[in-house]
Amino acid sequence: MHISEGVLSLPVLATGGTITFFSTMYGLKKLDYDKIMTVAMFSSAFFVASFIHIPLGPGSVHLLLSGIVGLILGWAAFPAILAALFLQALLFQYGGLAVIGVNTVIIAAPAVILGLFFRPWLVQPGKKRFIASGAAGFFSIFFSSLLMAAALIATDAGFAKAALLLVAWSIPVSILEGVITISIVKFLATVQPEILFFSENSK
Amino acid sequence: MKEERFSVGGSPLHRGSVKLKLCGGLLFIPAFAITPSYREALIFLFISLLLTAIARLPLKHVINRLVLANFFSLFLFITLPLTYGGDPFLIWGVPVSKAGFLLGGLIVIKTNGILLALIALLGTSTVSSLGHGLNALGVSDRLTALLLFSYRYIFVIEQEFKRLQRAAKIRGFSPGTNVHTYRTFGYLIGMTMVKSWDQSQRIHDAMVLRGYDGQFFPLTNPSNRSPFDLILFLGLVLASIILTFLGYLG
Repeated sequence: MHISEGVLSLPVLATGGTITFFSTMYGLKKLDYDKIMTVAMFSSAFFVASFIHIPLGPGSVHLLLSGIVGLILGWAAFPAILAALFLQALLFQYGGLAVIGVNTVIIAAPAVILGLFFRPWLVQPGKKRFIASGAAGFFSIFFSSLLMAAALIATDAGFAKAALLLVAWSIPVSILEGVITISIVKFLATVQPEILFFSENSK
Repeated sequence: MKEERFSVGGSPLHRGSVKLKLCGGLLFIPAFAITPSYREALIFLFISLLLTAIARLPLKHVINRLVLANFFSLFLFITLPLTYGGDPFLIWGVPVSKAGFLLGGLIVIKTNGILLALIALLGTSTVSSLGHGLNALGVSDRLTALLLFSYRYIFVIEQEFKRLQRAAKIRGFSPGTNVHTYRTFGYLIGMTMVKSWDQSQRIHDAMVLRGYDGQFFPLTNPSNRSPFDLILFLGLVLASIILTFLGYLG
């Protein structure tokens, strides 16, 4: 889910950078100091997820976990994902610096929007929580792949077919992420539900 | 997980001022990324190679990193010539788009050149000094704190997850493409989160107890600016500006 350096055009890079700048500022504004430690924890969980390889058919894919990060953190997911992407660029050269704005929007925007939309259901036990976690996990990846395709096509219409391939590939990965998000939420709800209520008591 | 592999060394780039390296890199890398033509991209690549040589980076590790980071550009390099459209030419009877081939090549040059510059300029500093450098350059205290704490937790979380994964393996868990596997991974990740959550609360309490109120006081001396740093910085700024102008007007 990382676009590498040198692919996108200046207007696309600038748009991504601007959206990330303002969303991160807003996310940080809503975050008080007591919560920074916990947000950082989710930020590194997101980082580590990219090293967790899950078998899928003949190969394996790595997780993104942006769905659960958005569900639990809400707006704070923007700075959290930005920090994780910066560390990934720095330590493993995944993604990069000039594209960090675009990559953050691609991953964090669907996560935050789905998180805000489904959080009321997340805190209710039963079927609604199940649907909220599955939908957030599935659509966070699927929407991210659509944004990724949009960034590529906005750069050069010639990317269209390659971008479509990426969207098609994201569908099985989205299903997997949905199933895993459901199990994570189910586990957290049983073992330590206060994690799910993280953003509820931060107002 | 081998982290900060390139941050140890005695080259001028390792000893250089973090702030100047950050400023230079934050100009040079975007300038490289938006270059529209081969001529400037190759000059940028040459500068990146020069930086890599100055930093005396271990070549084997650098190449390893580049190979791993090249999946996306390789994907484009393979798909673009087949899908881009425009003037085709034939390779082994397969029509290949010339424009797509050229664009794919440019992307491969840029991706690798930028990563080399990134490793040579920023990889030669530790994450903590980069965090404090960004803070000094105006990045807010909160974002800096978030960055540094995330960095701190990566290793804790990774170890915790690996420990749980080992335990599952010993109990006979063999991953496959099925719901049981995915549910198990979900529980492992959930358990990792629960443990890290508890630990993050403890660390927070410990830091508050020691007087933490959201501000960091770096213990390193930041004012070690040498003539080399200034020359490097000015060189990067000039190269970025001139090559960007040449690329768009020349």
